[in-house]
Amino acid sequence: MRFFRRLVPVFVVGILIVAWWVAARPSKILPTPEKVILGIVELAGQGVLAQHVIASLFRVTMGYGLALALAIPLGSAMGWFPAAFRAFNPVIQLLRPISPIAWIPIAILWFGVSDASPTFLIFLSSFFPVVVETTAGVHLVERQYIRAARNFEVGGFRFFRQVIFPAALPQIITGMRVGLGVAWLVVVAAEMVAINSGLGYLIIDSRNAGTRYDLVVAGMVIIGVIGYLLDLAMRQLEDLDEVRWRYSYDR
Amino acid sequence: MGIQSGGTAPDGSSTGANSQGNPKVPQTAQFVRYSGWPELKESFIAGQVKAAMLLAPMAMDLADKGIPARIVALGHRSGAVIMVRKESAYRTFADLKGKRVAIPSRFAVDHLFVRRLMKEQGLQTGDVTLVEIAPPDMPAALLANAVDAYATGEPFGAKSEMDGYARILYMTRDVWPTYICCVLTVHEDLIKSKPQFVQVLVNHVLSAGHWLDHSPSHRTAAARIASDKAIFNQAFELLRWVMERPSDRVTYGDLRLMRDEFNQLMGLSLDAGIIPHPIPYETYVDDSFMRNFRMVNINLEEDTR
Repeated sequence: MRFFRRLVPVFVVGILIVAWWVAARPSKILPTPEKVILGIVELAGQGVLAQHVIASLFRVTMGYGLALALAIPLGSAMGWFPAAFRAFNPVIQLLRPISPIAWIPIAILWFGVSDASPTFLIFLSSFFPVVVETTAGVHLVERQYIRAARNFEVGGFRFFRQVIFPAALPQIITGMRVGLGVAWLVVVAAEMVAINSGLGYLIIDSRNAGTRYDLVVAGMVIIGVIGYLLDLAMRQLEDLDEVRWRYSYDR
Repeated sequence: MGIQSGGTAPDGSSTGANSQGNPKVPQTAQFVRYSGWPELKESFIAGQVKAAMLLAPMAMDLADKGIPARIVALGHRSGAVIMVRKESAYRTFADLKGKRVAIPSRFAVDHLFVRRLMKEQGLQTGDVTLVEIAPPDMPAALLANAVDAYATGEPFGAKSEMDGYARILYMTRDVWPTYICCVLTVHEDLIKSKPQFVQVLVNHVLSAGHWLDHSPSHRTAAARIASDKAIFNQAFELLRWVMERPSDRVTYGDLRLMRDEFNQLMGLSLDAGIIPHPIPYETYVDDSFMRNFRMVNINLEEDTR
């Protein structure tokens, strides 16, 4: 039974690949799955595949890391101090829906054409979900925990570290997971301003290159697979005992 | 990039032609502007666009890959520039050794222009860092010193020049007067189903080119037409700058196809690695419409303002 449960998702992916193959076979332009695999092999053979993957992962790590470093403290402050919430929330809600693509000209003006521009765009995209979730997480910490802590005269930084942060952590992690997903999602758009590297660059360059749609789809597949692996890794965080208490169901 | 779609009508922006009032031209034609080459190419491949102004190497490559694309006329000649900051010390391309030069994409003809200058001035591949930036973002990149120079088609060169912080280092008209960039490419379906329509289209495009280069007032009139929201949606003053400073910055008077020029472009494309193998001229060109060209009268108001 367990074996079959594991087989179901593989079966779904298999059906989709067969459907793709059938749909793409008569097309002159749409690549079939085997052409995409050959494209990936070709890129790997030239040694550029690892280069693109590393470049994208590097930019995402930098942008996302910076977003966490700023968003968690800011979100915590906004969740705890009503004045901070009133001050920053309108600006955050105003900037949140703006696509990173719209920021490209400004990124070039501020950061030039270097790794800093795509990093900035990735930072922007992952910053907001983390701020919003952290704010909500801290804001919604149950009053009983706070009262209990007060009764035991826990205060200052220790109060934040031992009560607020652990209580809000499950939601902060949800924000981190969403943030990482979005960071990886915008890698294609962000790398429109990248120099000669990155999976987003690979897709844009292959679109420009005559009819290399096999490489366009190869880039899409690799982004999908890495995104899936990153999400699996983030899910591991949700399994920590520090977080599990919040969930109603068992794994 | 001025492009057409549907049944197709001459591209009013770069040619000044107008199908209105000519009973021979089907009135089903529709003009559609695309703001990126890949999108336009994909629409052409899908057959949604039957005629388009495509980059010459792109059209060659499509024909080679079995997409029924045929070049029937040029879109313009010359019209690429290399811009640098006004106060910079660069006087020749060789001065840019070790610097960053922006190009629209490595598949753009502007890239071939840069490579040709590098070769002429003894620079090796890698002596300049080529950075791919969308042309509309290039003026800002130069202003921010993110790049030391940029190579692009108009009006994105004139933009920084008009705004006062950049100057022209090279114009194709000075160093490569037969430069070909955009070519009128027609889907073979359209050639087979409506050859007389394609002939009317080519007649209008070529005639409009003559009309444009015939008098400065025509160029001003064309700039005004092209500045329209539905066509280029660029400031009239900017397009006027391109048309008039100098008047042969971009030329339209001779839009005939020349085998030698295409062979030269093919050689440069092969050398740059953007086309994998030589493609015979006959594969991507249909010059029958050009040979049967008949001048038509272009009736547009002259701009006296």
